[in-house]
Amino acid sequence: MKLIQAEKIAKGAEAVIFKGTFLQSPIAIKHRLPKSYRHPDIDNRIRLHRLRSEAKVMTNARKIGVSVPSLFGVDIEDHILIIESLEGKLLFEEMNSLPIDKLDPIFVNLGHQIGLLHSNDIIHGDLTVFNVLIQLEDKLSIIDFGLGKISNELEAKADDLLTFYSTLKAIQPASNILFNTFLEGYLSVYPEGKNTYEQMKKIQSRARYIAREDRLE
Amino acid sequence: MASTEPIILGLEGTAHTAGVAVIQGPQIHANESATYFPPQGGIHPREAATYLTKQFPILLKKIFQKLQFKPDKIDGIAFSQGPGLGPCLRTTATVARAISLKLNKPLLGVNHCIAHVELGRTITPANDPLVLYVSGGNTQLITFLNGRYRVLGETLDIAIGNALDSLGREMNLPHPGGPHIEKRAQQGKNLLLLPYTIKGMSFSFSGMVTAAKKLIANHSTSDICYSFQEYTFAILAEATERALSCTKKGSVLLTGGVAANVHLQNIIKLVAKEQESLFYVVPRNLAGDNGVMIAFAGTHLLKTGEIIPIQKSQVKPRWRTDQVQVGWIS
Repeated sequence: MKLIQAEKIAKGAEAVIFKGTFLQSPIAIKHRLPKSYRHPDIDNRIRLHRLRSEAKVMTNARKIGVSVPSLFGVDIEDHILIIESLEGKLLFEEMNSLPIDKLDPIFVNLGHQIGLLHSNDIIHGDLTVFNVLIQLEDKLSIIDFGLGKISNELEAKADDLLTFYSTLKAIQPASNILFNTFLEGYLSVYPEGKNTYEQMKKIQSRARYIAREDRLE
Repeated sequence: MASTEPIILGLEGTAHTAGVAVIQGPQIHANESATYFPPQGGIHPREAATYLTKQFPILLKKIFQKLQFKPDKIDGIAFSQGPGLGPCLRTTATVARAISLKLNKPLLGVNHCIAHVELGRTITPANDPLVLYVSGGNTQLITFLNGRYRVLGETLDIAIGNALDSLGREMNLPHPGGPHIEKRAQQGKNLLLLPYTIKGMSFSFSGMVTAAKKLIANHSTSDICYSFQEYTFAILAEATERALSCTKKGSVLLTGGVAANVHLQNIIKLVAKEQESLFYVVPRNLAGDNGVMIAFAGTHLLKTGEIIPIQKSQVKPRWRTDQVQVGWIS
């Protein structure tokens, strides 16, 4: 009998995803294939580095009680991660269908989870509305730690906030309210996060053509 | 002239290029431009503006001589209202206002970044693509969503073209450095170690320039050029692939001055293939700043009635791509 049964379901930017079962639990297999568009040396370096960080970050996040898929296995040689497969809808989809008052508790909870990650020096690296899975009401999981890392650097944490703010802004113009809700949750579990927020504004001010109304005061 | 499309005069002048063109629908009646090359160092805004002031009358004269019809057939005057260098924008706006008053034709304020996108949408088959806009002053991943062009990712500090120019200067290559780096890179063999910075769909290049500059003392120019292109283009490629995967747009459009880089074109072509998407690139002669793109975007503004009175035609040096209400796409 095969231990693992799986079939290809999606091709993401980072990897090909297979879904199946492992000892009857639903799993996702994330296979980082080489990218034809980058130099093989850069490609190998990046894929190996990210595989290791992703495994480490997911394990650490789970330990501190943040809802992330569990890690079942790592195959360093073939660049494969075997992780728990979670059901749910992307926050991106929910933002298009749910009214704003239903989104409020989601953003507070998301703020909590990210605050918890940051207070433990865990960086998501690609914190967008495409990487948050809404399961029930305000129950959510954070997925895809492909660009994750362990770091106590203020800049890295601030990058997480800025990435989240920017993608939020990109899909919903009236997103300042939602971001503030997120920030409330974030600061409630991670009071030092006010420094992260200050740093985020600094990074933002380095960018080109930030309109006055978009500058966070 | 069978076409019922409006005839638009486009004036580009946001930085170092003065561009004037007259178009009608997708047809280019005349196109002239002149680009300022600083004798040393980068572009000084005031000197670039002085250059534009001298060039516009010459270019306009050439354009009007080439036209098969009288200037009063022109239906609208489009100009690059922003973003860009303040002195250059003001020069261009002044020229546009004068022509608008003289011919008594409506003034159309075009966003320069969106003009690069509209150029691609007009002259390539791309209709609703994910856009990788790469130039000396801007580097953005743009796509249309809910009534506006949204910036999904962008440089957090300097643009890719600016990064190439700045590294080129340090290696004593002529300005603009981009094409020279592209040429030198072809002789490069050894991949040197550089940082790889990507933040979701955004990126930053200034740290990479600093790291590459440190290599100059001990490595050949061609290896540095080769490595710098490999790293920075890999970053752009990865961000593009991520954006394609998120938005499921099914096509990529490469536009802006750096889109003329053949190596970058090949890389983004491979990205499109990875995501089973189509690849489009603007033609080399229209990749850099030009009046044609301003006129194409201006056509849309005229059709949707977005005419600006002279009193409200102030330039917008920090005008962002996502601030523009896009009324011409449904």
